[in-house]
Amino acid sequence: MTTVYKELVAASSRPMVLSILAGGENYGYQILKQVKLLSGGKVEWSDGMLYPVLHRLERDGQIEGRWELTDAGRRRKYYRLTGRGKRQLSADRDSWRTMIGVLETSWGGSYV
Amino acid sequence: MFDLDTALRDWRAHMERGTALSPREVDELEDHLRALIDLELELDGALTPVRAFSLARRGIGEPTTLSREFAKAGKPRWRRLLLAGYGMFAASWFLPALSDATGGLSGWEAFLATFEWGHPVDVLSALTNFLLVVTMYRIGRVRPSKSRWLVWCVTGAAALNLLYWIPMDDLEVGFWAWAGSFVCTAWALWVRDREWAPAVLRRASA
Repeated sequence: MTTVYKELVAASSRPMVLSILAGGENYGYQILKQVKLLSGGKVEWSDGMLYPVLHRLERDGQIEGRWELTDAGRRRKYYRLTGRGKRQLSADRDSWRTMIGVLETSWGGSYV
Repeated sequence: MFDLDTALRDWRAHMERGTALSPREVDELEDHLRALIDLELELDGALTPVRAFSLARRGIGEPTTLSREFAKAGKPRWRRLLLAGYGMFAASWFLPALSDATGGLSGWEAFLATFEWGHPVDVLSALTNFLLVVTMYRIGRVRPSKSRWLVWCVTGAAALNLLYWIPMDDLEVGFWAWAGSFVCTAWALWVRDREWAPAVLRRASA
């Protein structure tokens, strides 16, 4: 199975989190599961890697978090996308599409 | 006999001792750890709770690893404010603080002079320096809930140092750095207090 190298995983962490939260409010553990599911298991984030990303995005105002008490009596922090996060996601999507387009074009040429 | 709640309490204590994470951040990691334990038990029905806890704990990482990861997200705002406050405080001792006919006094000289002048409010203002030193000692060792008195004292000191000295017209840059250091430190302590306060909980809607 192809493994994605860690620099690429790190670079894609912001659009990945924003994209998942664009689908609705979510919390850390479920976001990690979504990443695994969306990538078919090819991209796996370490448990410790996600929360700093979430906190940085929260501090930048791209997502906002709030605490809930679950039915099991646990404290859980849910995150959702803000207006700024939506704009960032749109910009990220354009950038990544451009990069993917450039790479696809180069791979379709005579260099590979 | 293994007790999961006790093990989680010990894990929390270990995290709080071994990292600079706030209790809210540890809350979030604890929720994650609990979810991992549930997953381990679900995947393997024969697994004992102690083994599931051990696997989940390994999965979430050691305090040093987590600290490193969290550090990548940058310093919390209160820490940056605090560093700015301490930086200004240190500089203020060597900068010209008060000007007079004889050429002025540095922060250090002004500090000593206040005791010679002997005015009670001057002395009280000078003594607030020790309060700032106390914050340096306590900030990394004591939870904010046990330092509320310090937050109020530093805030009071910031107000005193500004309101008492500002009407004087011989103030130099060292004074402003010194007064600013109290404002920054008080601000940092309030932000830290708020960030570390227990989360406001809402009952899950679904």
